[in-house]
Amino acid sequence: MNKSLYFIFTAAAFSMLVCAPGRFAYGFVLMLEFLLIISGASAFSYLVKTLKLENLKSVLNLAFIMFLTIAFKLVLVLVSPVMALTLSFVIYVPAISAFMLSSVLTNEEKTVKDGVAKNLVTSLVFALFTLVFFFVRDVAGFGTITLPAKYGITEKVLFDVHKSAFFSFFASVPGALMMVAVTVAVIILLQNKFSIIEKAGTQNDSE
Amino acid sequence: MDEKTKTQLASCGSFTGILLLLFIILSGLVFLSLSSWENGLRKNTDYVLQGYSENLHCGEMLPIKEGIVTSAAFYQLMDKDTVKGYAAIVRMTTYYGPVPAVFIQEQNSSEVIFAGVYGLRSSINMEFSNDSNDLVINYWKDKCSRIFDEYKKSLEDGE
Amino acid sequence: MILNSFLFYFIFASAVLIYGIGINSNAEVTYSRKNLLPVIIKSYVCVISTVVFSFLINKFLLLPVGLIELYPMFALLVFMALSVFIEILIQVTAKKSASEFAIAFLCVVLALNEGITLVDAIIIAFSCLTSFYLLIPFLYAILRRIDSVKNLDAYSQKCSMFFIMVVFILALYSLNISWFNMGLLR
Repeated sequence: MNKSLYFIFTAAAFSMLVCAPGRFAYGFVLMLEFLLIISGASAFSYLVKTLKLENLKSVLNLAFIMFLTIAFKLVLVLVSPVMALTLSFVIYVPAISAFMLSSVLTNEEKTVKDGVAKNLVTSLVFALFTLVFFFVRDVAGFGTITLPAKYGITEKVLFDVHKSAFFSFFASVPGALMMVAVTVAVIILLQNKFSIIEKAGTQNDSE
Repeated sequence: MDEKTKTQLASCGSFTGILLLLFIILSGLVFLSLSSWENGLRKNTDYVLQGYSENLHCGEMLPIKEGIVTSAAFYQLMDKDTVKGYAAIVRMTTYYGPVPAVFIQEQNSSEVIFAGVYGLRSSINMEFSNDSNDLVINYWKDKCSRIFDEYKKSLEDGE
Repeated sequence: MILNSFLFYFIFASAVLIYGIGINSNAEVTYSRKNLLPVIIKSYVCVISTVVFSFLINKFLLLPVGLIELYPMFALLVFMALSVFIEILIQVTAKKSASEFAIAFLCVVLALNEGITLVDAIIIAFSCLTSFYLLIPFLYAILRRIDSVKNLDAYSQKCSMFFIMVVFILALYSLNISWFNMGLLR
């Protein structure tokens, strides 16, 4: 995944990473929603093209993305109402982010399946990063691993947080913001180093 | 009618048709999820209330007509079998992100008490307490108090 | 009550820093263009008028039927219609930005969700937008100061923005701590 694409994803989905509760269950649910919206929106754009409604494209895309978000929230209410209550504002953020990402997503593939698959693959690295991010926040901040469950979330306690209250900083919003900043800085550093090595390699080859 | 008007009418028709279909599907989902919302949140509020005081639990859901019901639920507060006041579970956005917080108000008092947060553990749970002068908790106490007052007023008007 | 609501979404649980509205756009800080004022006026007018119309739709159409969960869809349609109408009126020729739509729409959703009365919802929307636009000069000033000392590329600038926002959030959280708690001296 090249540098600018990574940044576009992080920038667009930033509030989702930082302002959601710091538990793995919520990260998992938000990631599911994000992937659902990306695939739904790419499939819908083919429908818009078929019905020749290109002049109303942005309104229809937005309306469909909002439909998917509200439908997802209502299905989440059926599974775990307290998670739907806690996420009741953050759940709109992936929707807006997916709309902002429509410039990087493609709908030029020949079939709907190919287009959706290509967009999903582009989003997959970001999805995995988000899952790892929430996992680290959960373990460091709360000392638990949580998963969605009927009528709440199930917790598997790993260690007592009383002993390491310092790490509970990562459960908070500024802690998450700092984690994102440090991760992004490390990735830029690594990419710069690799590009230097690559350039040196190609120079040696040409000599 | 010439071709251009026909295509424009067809576009408007398909646009409206798509929107109508989306609304109908969503309305169906809303009605399917109503009982899960009420019962699930009642269980979670009961859990917090029992941590606060042993005999408290939730009764019937209050029919509050405000936009906040998408991220909150309001119940009658019961002590064994007697109605004691009102309870609310709201999404409170704090320094740790959004958390489901429970507030209660006893029948003859106008004071709203913060009963606890569902699902938070140990050192972070200690950050939230009724005695703290946390600005966020005080704001939500004030908000819940206004909602309960409006509900009481609507009951009186209804009678 | 009005001041309480305004200060809550402006400082205590800042719409930008805690709710996350526009947190990514603030990190970009590309707001050095001259015709920022018409854009700001347009977004305020658009957001407040959307909140008014959507609140009335919620109160008289959606709440009696029990379909209040659908309010973002209605808010979106009202927002887009009003946005186009106001653009014709004010004739703002600024480049359309997806992030400005994102911020304005999220403010509308938050105001409709947490506003109890119409005035409350308007105050919340106004407060969220103000918190976003007023944070920009602070971030920009700090970024210019860093720039004068060290030349950073675009990605490093973004990282520094994040760290600056962490400091802001911690500074605002200090309002929650009772500094003169006697327990400190024991």
